[in-house]
Amino acid sequence: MSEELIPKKEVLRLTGISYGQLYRWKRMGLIPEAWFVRRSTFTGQETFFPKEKILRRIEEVLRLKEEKPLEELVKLLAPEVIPTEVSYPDPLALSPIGAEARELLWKAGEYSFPELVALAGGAQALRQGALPGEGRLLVELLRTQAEAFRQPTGLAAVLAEKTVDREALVIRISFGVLAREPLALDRDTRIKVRLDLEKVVEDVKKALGGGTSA
Amino acid sequence: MPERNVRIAGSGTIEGGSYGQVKIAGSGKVTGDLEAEEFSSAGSATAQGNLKARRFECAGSFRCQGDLEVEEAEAAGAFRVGGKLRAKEMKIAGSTHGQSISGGYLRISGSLETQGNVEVETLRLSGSFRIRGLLSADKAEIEMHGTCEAQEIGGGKIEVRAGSKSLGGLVGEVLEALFGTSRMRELRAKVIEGDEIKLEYTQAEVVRGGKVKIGPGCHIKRVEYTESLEKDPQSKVEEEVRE
Repeated sequence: MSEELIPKKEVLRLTGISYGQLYRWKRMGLIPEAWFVRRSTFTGQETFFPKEKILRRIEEVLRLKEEKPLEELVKLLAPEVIPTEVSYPDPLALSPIGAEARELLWKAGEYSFPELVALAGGAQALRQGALPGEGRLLVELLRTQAEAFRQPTGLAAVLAEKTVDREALVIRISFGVLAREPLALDRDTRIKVRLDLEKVVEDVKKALGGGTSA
Repeated sequence: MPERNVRIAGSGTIEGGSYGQVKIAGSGKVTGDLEAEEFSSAGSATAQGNLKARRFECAGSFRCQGDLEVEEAEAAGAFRVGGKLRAKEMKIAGSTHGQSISGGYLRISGSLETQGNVEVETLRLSGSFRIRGLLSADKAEIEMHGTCEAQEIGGGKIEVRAGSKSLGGLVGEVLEALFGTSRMRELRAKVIEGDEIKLEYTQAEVVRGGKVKIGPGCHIKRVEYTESLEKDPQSKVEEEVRE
């Protein structure tokens, strides 16, 4: 996955925000440090951003800052801020998870934020054609990796499949991987589902934020 | 929980924990993570863990090996934080060493050295600094009395000027003691970005901004600006681009 990069100047020109705003939002954690990509160019050192992510984030901040103070937006948008107090009784009601994830649930009762992210990852895999067992594999993997949700930029949750073909016998093995992009895999391994973990965390956060502020 | 107060006069050790008031006069050591409503030390104090205090004061030598988080703080003397320093409002006179600093209002008279970023809302600094990361502020006023160096500087309003050579008062005495009287007053940075930038005696590769004023003694490889550019005739700008 190679993301398209955009220079900082271009971001300011397209969105109309000032340097002051950009640096303030970075300080507050609204724009993650990991998005700042420093490169040397012929005009000196320049900073680039992942284009789609930065433009979406700035658009969201500009839209929401009229309604909510920036401190609250940090809780809603910044990936480093993991809501610890969340405990949610009905995960299937959250849009990033949804009713089709019923078979991924492993308990009745309250789910914490990292558990919701794990479920959302599994649910998305199902929607992209993973089998229920594979979805559960991914959920179980993500449940053990909750610390990674704080710095999810560039992390991919992947369901991969390996095929071993021995004339009369074809064996397919599915496995889950949490790794940093760009991934490198051998030629016998096929990626079935590849999720941008940052996006999954963000989706769950937004679904929760929308629910609690309503 | 009842508030415990603790006081060292002479020499002593405090265990970590939660306190109301902590006062050290003489020499004191804190052995674990400590949280206090008020922390003050005069003489020499070392915190071996993280320290969190609403009000914080130190004079003499202070060293925190972990993170330091304070709301209202004043430090004088040699001030060293091994971890991250977070302060809502802080004034420091003397020499400061830290991993990184973040916060609201920061006023420094003296020298500052960090391994990482210094990111605050308002910075008023008179003295010298060496910041190995980014210096960012909504408003930064820098009066140089020595060599100043940062990888990058960015923010809203950035003003850098050379301090006068003779200074009176306590600040002047502190600075003179630290740097001597024949100080080199110069800022070096790779990139400086801001909405309003005023510079003096600065060497930079790129200056990018809205309104840019290049005062005396500068050498800038490239200036990119959107609104206006003023240049002192004695300064050198190799390339300027209006965008």
